[in-house]
Amino acid sequence: MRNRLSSFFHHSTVLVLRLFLGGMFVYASLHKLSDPVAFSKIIYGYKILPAFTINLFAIVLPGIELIAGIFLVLGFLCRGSALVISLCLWVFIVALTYNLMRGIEFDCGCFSFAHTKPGAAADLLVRDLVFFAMALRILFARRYACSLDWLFGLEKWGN
Amino acid sequence: MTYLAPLMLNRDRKIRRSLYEAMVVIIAGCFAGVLSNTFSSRSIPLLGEWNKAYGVPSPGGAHASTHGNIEIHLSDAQRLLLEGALFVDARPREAFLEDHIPGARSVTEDTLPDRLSEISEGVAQGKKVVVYCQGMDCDESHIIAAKLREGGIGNVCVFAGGLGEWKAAGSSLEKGEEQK
Repeated sequence: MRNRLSSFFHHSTVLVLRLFLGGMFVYASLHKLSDPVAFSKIIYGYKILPAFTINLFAIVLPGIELIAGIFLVLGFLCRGSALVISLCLWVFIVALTYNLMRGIEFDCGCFSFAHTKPGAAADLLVRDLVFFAMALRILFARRYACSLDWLFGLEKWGN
Repeated sequence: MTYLAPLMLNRDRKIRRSLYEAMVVIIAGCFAGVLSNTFSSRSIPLLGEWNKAYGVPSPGGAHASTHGNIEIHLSDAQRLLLEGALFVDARPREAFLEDHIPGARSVTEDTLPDRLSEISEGVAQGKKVVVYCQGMDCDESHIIAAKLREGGIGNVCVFAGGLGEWKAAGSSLEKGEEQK
């Protein structure tokens, strides 16, 4: 009984995290996909990437966020999607930290293209660290309940 | 340690599988991104124009803020001021009140429709219009210049270095409201 409860709690936690993080990534990708011009300017504002990679990054990053988010919600290629989302969040954390250290003011561009309030970068960093912890929890889960991977037996592949 | 071998093998397989899956997600994501950009009304080319040496940085393409070869340098801006050109400050009103190029008019996207006739009058007198904002990293000047052109004012150029370059050169400044 105890084991069953523990297993139920584990599966429920991972499922909730998957739906939350996946849904959030889908939501965050939509405004970027709808306005690549504005998003490329946001990336330029970070002053990290070399000039020739800015447009490429502005085009593919929202697409990757969208697909990884959808897959995570559906539970398709769960571990890979969680890995990609973890990598994305890691990149955001490094970029935010780097610019905080340099004292550069910039717009986050995370959920909208509205100007970020002064001093908000530290809050964004904390938020991304929490999301990163969630993504790692999903990545290292043993099983994914209510997922397409589980339905089609894809979880067994590689085990 | 041999009893750990199956566990290690299982772990390696899981890592390999995760990497394969991540690769599929990234490839599908890249495809989705390119597809979305292709059909977007705000699409951008693969390579942008982010090098400041060639003007105000922009993503390039049809919807970029910079259009045509209308940017001028500091020396041209200084000469045009002496020649009586009409200077348009495209920065927010608060920034304009702090300091601006002598004789400049404060025109933002919101106030442009009200000021268009005034600018047209200046152009009718043979004046050239010079639009500027803070510097190379802002594109308000290009946005206003594009709208002026759409409004039928063709004699427009953009001082790309903006007030930042003007100040750095030690050129004269004016504070407060516009001079009538």
